[in-house]
Amino acid sequence: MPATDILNAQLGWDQNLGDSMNPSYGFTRKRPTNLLKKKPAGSTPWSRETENTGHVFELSWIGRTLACAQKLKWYYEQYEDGFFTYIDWDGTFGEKGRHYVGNFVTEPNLVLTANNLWDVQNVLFEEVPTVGMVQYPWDWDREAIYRYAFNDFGDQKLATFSNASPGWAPNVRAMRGAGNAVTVTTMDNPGAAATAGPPASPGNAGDWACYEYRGYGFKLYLMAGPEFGQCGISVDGVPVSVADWVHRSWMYATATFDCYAAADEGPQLIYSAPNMPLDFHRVQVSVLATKNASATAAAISWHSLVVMR
Amino acid sequence: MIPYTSTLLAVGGARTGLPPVNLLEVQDTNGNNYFWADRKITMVSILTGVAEMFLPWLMAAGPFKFNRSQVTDSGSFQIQNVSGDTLARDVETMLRATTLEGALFIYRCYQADAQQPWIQTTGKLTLEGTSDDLATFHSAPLSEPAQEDTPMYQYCETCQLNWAGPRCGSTASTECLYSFQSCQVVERPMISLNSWEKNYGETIANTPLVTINRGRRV
Repeated sequence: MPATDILNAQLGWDQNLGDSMNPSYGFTRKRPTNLLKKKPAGSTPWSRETENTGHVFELSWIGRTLACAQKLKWYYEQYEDGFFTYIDWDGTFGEKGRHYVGNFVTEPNLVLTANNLWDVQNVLFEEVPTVGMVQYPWDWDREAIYRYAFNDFGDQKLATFSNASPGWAPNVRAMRGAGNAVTVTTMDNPGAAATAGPPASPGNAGDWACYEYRGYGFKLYLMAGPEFGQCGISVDGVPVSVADWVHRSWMYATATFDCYAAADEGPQLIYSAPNMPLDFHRVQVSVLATKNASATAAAISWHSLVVMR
Repeated sequence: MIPYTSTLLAVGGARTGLPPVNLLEVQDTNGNNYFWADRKITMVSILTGVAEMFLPWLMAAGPFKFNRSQVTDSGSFQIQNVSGDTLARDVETMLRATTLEGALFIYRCYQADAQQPWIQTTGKLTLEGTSDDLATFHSAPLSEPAQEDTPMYQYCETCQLNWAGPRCGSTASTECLYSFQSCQVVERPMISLNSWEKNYGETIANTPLVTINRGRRV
């Protein structure tokens, strides 16, 4: 995997190189313009993400050794039609750094500025989507964003399919447990019954809800409590067979995920797939209408998706 | 009015979101299937009925002109013509190995999360042209009578059907003489009768009364 070839594998001075492969301070970290946005004169804006592209860095290496400059040129040539890993050591908390896979899309111009000192300025490093990484983005507290069933404007973002009534329906819940003033609109199945409290009817087997996003991995939060049942999960159209990130002790290591809890626990992390490449991804929850023996019903309630960006 | 489902309408009208994916399925005249999209995606194919991997070969789809009549809907597709080797691009190899001229296509402008299309159209492909990096196909009508090979039938006293063929339907053991008199399935002969009795009752069929010269045309 070319991602294992890391341009700047270490934080500080590279003894073998007699220099550091880290860029000089003052470079720009940015995102390419992949959001098509139009705002009518008297309305909120409309937007569509147009591409699955990621981050762009405009990097410079000032006053470096020839070995450093030549290495930059080599990475440009070697990975002009491929990709390698660049680590942003300073752009994250701690000394772990964040990995990016991509390549130089502009040519590093080597300029000799003094005795054996070279400048390489304004080289664009652009992320390549859909390819594997050595280390996927890990700072879920600071770099992941929340995607709810409804966006900030109140538009439904979670695609839902119901084959019986009551099917999926929105339900306004307290964000962090009962009594909390901040609310979030979940999408519940079966809608009317789940809204009214512990539902007497089971979920509708075959109903599903699907969210599409641009980003890396995700964490899926569903409501957990006595009235909640079991579901299946698919990622990008492929059913999840074995949970690679099991958080709930009563979750089966199979294709079935159980949202039952003895007491109302609010939104719980049901499944996460943190090691996914940058791309458009789809997460789908299928209602099975089955439940834990202790559960009072088999409802499913979609709370949110936490998406790494 | 296109009957969009509530699943599609609910998310399609949102102020924010991702673009629909363009899905193009092609079945060439040899029966090979190709699944192309503008992003790599696994979707249920209409051609096969099962989930297929759509390869990101589709660079552009449309614009389409829909007529809502017998006039054929028209549009074009651009396929990448970059992959391959220095001797032959993939598309060129494909065109050499088989033919995409007249291949059946199904195009969908597809809302991936709702798993339903906004637009779906079907037709046949015709190659419009290739450049260094793109192959452009145009949609041709599904039904083009001028392009069809039809058998050259003669309007004559000799039956034009193949004996015991599907249109003849005879199950007899010996071949007929391709005349009305020798016909084994009298409901079906493809024959021009050359003489008619005038004094028949209404319920009696026309019957040729003279000997038929099988080599003569009317």
